[in-house]
This record gives sequence, structure tokens and C-alpha cells, in this order.
Amino acid sequence: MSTDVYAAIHAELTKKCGVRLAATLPDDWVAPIIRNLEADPAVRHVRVAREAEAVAVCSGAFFGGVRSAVVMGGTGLLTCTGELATLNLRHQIPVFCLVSQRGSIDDHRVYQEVQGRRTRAVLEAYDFPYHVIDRPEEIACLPDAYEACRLQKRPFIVFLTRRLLKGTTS
Amino acid sequence: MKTRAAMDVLAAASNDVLVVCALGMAANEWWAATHSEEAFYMHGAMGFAASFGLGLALSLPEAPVWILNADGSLCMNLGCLLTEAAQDCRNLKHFVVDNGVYQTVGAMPMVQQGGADYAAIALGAGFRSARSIDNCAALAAELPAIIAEPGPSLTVLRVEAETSFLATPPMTYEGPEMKYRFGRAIERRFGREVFGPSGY
Repeated sequence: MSTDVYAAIHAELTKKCGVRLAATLPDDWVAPIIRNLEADPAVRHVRVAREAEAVAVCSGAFFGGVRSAVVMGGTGLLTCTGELATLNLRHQIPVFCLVSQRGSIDDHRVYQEVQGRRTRAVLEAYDFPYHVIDRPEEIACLPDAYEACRLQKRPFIVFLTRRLLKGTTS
Repeated sequence: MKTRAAMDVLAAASNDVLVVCALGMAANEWWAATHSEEAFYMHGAMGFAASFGLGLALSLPEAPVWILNADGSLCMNLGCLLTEAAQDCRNLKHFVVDNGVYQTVGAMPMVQQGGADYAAIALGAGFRSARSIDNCAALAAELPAIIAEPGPSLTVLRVEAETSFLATPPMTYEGPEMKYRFGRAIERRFGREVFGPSGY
């Protein structure tokens, strides 16, 4: 199932959302999304050393008229909330982020538990909108999410659940 | 070399470039020297003007893009040098104003003040070229070659630390207006659609 899920995410991002630049830093859940982006000659893939770099790269690409996406893990998202606020909120620059929803009840990694409990509260404090994709049939909402990001002119987080990306076995 | 004098040398050669300025001293001085709206003056995300400039340069390969960074900002995001080198972006030139201090808070000293060689770090990261320049005559002499060579390049401008707060005022617009002025300038000049038909 996961191979089809990753292909569907890639197709929605590139064909429906028009993403032509992706800035990424992997965790193990989103790594296959990044491999697909890297293999696509229509996408400029920017590997970064820190997640806030990806946020800023995509913010710069916005001004070149290029549609872009950040792909990162949930822990990485927590590392760059300051930049998302002081760059993207400050200047009202949309940035579309695909993020693994770490720390869920089926994520049995002790070092993810804080992310699971507090990430959404942090996003709500900053007033960063987010949407959760939990099932394959929901992947088709990505173009609407992308448009919402543009319209709301701020960071927009799409969370991808473990059930979506890894299936039900833990 | 004084910061303002170095900015004036750069400004005189910046005919057709898009400039991304780190917040604080670099942004204020570039605005004072040029009053250019073909520059993005970042108001936050200290350290990440370089990454923003990279994204702009990759998405507008026909445009020469300069990053006007400062040593304090560079050190908040040294990893940007790896990312820039890996992208091998020919239209990107990175300048770093190196005064060894946090100028806008009253010249408080930086970590490893005076002991870091950012050009060497850039070369170690894989940059095509990098150099340090400490006087305006050399900057003026080398700038045509810096502009002509393919990027990414790093040019460290070693300037004197000013012992008092530089009271250069910031640009006269901010936040969302910065976004729209810069984006509209790019739309006019390059025919790109930055904002959609409904204006966002």
C-alpha cells in the first residue's frame, strides 16, 4: 500500500499542485517522498542541512514564481517555528510543508512523544493552519491544501500520519 | 574599510542584480546606499537570508542574485554554505560583511571574533571560489571579475567594527509591503507571475 501512497502524494504534488522545487530534510517516514522528488527531472530538489533552510529556500522560490514544498519530519518542524513566524508570518509569505505526524499513538519511539503531545498546540499558538491526511483517499485534498496555503499567505502544514505512510503494523 | 564605503562600491556595480539582505545592519546600509526595491530586506529569520537568496536564484536562473549577509547571520546558519555549494547555482554571489561584532546591539563581540576565516570555510564546503577583501580599492578592482565568474562564490568584506551604534535608519516600508514591492518588481522585470490573478 505504501508504494502506491507515496506515488499518489508525488503525483498530487507535482501534477496537481504544480510543485517544481522541493527543499527537504528526511525522517524515515517521509524519506520515500523525498526519493521520488529527487528522481523527478521536473523538480529541482534542494537538500538542506537544517529545516529552517528549507523554509527560507521555498520562501525565496515564491518570489521567482516557482511553486514549492518543504518536506520534513515532525521533529524538524519544531526546530523551525521561529523562522516560520519571523519570516513567513512577518512578511505574509506562503510556505507549504509536508510533515510526518510523529508521536502519534502508533509511533512507538520514545524520543517522539513530546512532538506528539505538543506540536499542534505550538502551531495553534502561532496561528499556523494545518490539515491531517490519514487515509489514501484523502491524498487528493493536497491541491486544495496548497491553494489554502497561498490564500492564507502563511505557513501551512499538511501532516501525514503513520497509518497513511507505514500502514497499520508497528 | 568602513561598512558604508564597501556598500557604496557594491552599489555602484549592482545595476541589474536582485539583492537579498540579512536583517539589521546589512539591510539598513543597502537601503541607505541604493533605495532599491529590487532588494528583499529580511525582517526576521536571522541567518536565513542566504537560504532565501538561494531559493530565489534557483527559481530565477536568468537573474543575477546577490546575498548581502553579515557574519553574525552567517554563523547562525553555516550549513547554508553546504547547501549553496551542492546546488552549484551559477547566478548566485554571496557577500558577507565581517566586522566581528553584533553591530546593531552596540558592537558586542562575536564568538571567535577575528579568528574565523569564512572564505576558507566556504572553499571547504565546496564553493567554486571565495576570497576576503579588506579595502575598497581592492574591492573595486576585484568586483568585475567576481560578477563575471560563475557562482556560487563567497566574498568576505572585512570591515572595521564600529564602536558606536550605527544610526542608519531602516527602509521606510516593512512586512507585507516588502513582499508586494519586491514581488511586483520581479513581475515587471522578468514577466514572472509571483502573485496569482487574485493578488495572492
